[in-house]
Amino acid sequence: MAASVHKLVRKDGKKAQNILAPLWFLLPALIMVAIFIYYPVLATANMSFKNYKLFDQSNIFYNGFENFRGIFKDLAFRRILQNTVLWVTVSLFFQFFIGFGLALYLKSKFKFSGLYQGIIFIPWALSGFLMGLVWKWIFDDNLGVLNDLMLKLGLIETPIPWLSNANWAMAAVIIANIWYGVTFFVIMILAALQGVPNEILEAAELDGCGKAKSLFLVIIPFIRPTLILIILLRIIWITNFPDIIFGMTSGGPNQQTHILSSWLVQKITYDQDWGSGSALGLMMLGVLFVFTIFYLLATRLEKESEGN
Amino acid sequence: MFKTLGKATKFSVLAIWLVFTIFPLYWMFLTSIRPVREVTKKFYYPHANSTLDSYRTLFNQYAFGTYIKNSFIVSFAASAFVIFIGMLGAYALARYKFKGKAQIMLVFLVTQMIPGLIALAPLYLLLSKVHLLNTLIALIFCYVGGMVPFATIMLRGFLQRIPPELDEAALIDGCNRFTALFRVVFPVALPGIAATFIFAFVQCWNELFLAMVLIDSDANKTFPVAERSFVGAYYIEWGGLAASVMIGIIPTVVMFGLMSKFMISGLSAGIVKG
Amino acid sequence: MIKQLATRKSIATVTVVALAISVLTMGTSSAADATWNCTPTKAKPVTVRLIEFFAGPARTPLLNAYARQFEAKNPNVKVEIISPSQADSAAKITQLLQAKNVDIVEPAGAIMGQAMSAKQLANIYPYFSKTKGWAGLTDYSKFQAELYGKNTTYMVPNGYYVKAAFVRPAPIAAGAPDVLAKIKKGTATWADILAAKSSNTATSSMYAMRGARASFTQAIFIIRAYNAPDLNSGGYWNKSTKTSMFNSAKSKDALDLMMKIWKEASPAASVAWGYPEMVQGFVDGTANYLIQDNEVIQIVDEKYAPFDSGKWFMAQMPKGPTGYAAQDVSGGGWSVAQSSKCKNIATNFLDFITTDPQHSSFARAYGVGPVTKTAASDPFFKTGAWAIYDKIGKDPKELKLDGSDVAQVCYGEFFTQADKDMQAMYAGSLSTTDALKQWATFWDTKCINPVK
Repeated sequence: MAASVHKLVRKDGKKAQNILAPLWFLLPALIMVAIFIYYPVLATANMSFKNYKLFDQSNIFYNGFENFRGIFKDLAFRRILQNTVLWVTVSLFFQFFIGFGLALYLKSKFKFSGLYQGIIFIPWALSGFLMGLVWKWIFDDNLGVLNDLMLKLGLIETPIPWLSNANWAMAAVIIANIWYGVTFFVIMILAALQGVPNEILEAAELDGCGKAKSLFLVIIPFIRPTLILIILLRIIWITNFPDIIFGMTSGGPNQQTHILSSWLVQKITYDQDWGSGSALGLMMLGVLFVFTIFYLLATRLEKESEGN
Repeated sequence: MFKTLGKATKFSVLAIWLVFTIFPLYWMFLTSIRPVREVTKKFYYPHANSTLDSYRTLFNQYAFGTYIKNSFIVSFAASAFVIFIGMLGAYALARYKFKGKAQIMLVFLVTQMIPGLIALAPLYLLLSKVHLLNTLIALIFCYVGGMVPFATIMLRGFLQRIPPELDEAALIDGCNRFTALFRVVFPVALPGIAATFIFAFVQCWNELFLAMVLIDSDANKTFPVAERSFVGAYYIEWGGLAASVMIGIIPTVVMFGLMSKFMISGLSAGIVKG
Repeated sequence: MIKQLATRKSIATVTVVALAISVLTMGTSSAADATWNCTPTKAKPVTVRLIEFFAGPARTPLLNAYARQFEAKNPNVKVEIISPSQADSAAKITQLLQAKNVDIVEPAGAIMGQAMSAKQLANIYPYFSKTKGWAGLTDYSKFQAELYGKNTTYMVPNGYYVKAAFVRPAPIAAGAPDVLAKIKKGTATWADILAAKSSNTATSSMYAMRGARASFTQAIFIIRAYNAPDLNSGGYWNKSTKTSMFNSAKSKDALDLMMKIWKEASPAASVAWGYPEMVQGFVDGTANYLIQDNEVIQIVDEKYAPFDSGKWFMAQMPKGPTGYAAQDVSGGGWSVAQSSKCKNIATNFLDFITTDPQHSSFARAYGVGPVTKTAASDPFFKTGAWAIYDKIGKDPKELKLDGSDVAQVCYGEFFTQADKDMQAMYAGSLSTTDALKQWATFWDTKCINPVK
């Protein structure tokens, strides 16, 4: 590769001397990423074509696409796929809108707003798995405080089978996930809102924009690039976030509350089927990659058509 | 009229969310001070029988002192390395133009899509080959590797906000790029660095799956792995679990609380600009 | 790139050298026995790593104390006790065996069969049979230690897990007094358990079902009770037909009854119950009748009420139509890993903890049936809640199975498959007939038939 391309080009066009510098600076990061992220991915890709069960190590061999076929053939696969979509969309929807609303409210300071902010940021500082256990305790069909409170308030007459009925359990884990993830949006959107220059808002008000109007016509377009990016990040993170489900239901009852990533945990840790787990992980990576490309293309196209 | 109504809505929404946010923690606190035979009673409020037994168990029956120490070592070391490596990478991405830069950014971005769990098995085999299983060093390495991409991207966004004239002036004053970065740019970038550090620290402090697979011995267990022992095969020790949750959140919550302003400005710079 | 090549090359070199060494040393007997002739010195101290399956506050501190005592007696030896969370211990033990990074394991459940088939466990009989620990074992424990063949020992028992029923009398007396009387006498059948659904209330039900992980073990209880006494010593085969017990018509009756008990006599929540949830369900009164191992005594005593309070009592498992019950009493134990570099020291440690008073304190604290002669004669194991095990021991109509079928390699796969099938039956997507057909085919084709 021609060395001349590695040039420090300053804004004024002057060339600097140290042409390899950026690579030297990037080298430690690239090495770490290569060893701890990309090597495992390649090894996983290899493992995904093997019959690789930890409890039957005398029997490890290449088995073609058998692991992938096994995943599609699994009776629980359809439900898990539906759950994943439900988990991502419903969690995202509520996390985003609650987060957006809170961020708007928190943008203007009030008494103790700093303290308030500090408190509602707490969930993000906690371990997802442990909070899963905590929520399991709260949602417990018989001992849970939630059923107890609702019974006492007269909202329900019989306890809700929160964790033993597949659909209720799905609702329960999503509620816990909303609790957990709103913070991210509050922080990010609040940060973005603080970047909106006051002059723009004032100008909008001079033009006679009402509050709602200025929100949709001025603020949202201004922070749109941020929103697009954090929603994308969030979709990926929620998809790859098995911790709460793992803590609350471990995918039960009858594998009915698994999402793809918690299923992956089960395959790797309990079933000890590293071949099948690898295949599943690889598929998830592929799906997310394709999704990201489409998402970015779609949002970019939209922007361009708007620009015209 | 509309204004007061708006205000009332605003504060009731804020209040409801506050209650919803705090409730699980409040409930855990109550669970942690229950006497052991009352844990399964449904309604509970603090009274004369309340006890700190569950907390004592953590340190008498279990070695939670050691686990907390281990978690601190791992989280602190990993976050510090992440900042160091991330700053170097971020500096190159923020200040240089070179062919392949977009590709390198892509290399970092794609990592965010990888389900971290698929790395478990290969990393286990790799670390077993180099005899690093069951060591805190192995955990530190893995955490650094896992967090470097995100930290690099975040710090890059932050560095882009710092005028290049600053380090150029330092270069003229006889610094090289490296010293300019750490002597001149570093102090200015401190809010962003603090935000990234806290972010990394919290991730390490809470990480369960890698630690579960890589660590065996009691002396090297981290906090989350130890907490998992309360989910025994025979019984879930809700009292002990609740007490450990209450203790485990202290460091991260204190950090978050103290730095929430930094977090906002830091993260926003990183992400928004990224 | 160069660096990568270099490491690849060095790895290759290392492999070649290692191969050469192993070829050279294989023939010489002294080298083969080196792992049995380990002498720890100041310059070369020895570390023995032991991993527990059932770590917990009742027993882990005790094991650590024994480790310290052993270290004091044996200079230059270190014993490291590894105590994973029980939820992860199966995976952890498999991992350590694979990484050849452990000396002693507690291969419970399906691990034993897997580890045996992968040749990961050492036969310690030649060395262990000369120790005090061996001499002190009860005859049954010796039989268990030699389960894989006369004059071989792949596992030293460390305690027995016997199933019995934990019963809360008050609620059952209110709704099904006749069943309670039968339970007390030890004559209650599985059909009686279903009949006791008349004692169900809005908040409590009769039977603590296991609906989540290892749920099929519940089905095995009842299927065996229906097939007994026509069972082989391992309890998965009919002696009369010489095929797997899942083929018999009785098994179908049993499984159908099981499903009824689940639907009508168990809490709805129990579909999500694993071991800890079942125990919790009994402690909090959601279920009034729990079949579990002896180590639960201590938990119920501590978390619910002392045994003397009369709020709960112990009973024998329900019987089948012919008045029989059957269960595995094989229990757990310690095995020395084939990869251990100091098998003599590891075995010495096993000897130490298998001798009394170490073992009897362990069995008492942890709540498992004792394996040594002296501990077995300890009145502690014959009174209070423990009295029931004496009764079970003497009851010829409660068959004690030896665990030889569970130790088969195929069991690991059966465990996973049967669990999925149970879930499918609960969900209504699999009939009991089809499930039994699958299980029968599995045992008849994938496992070794010991009665043929």
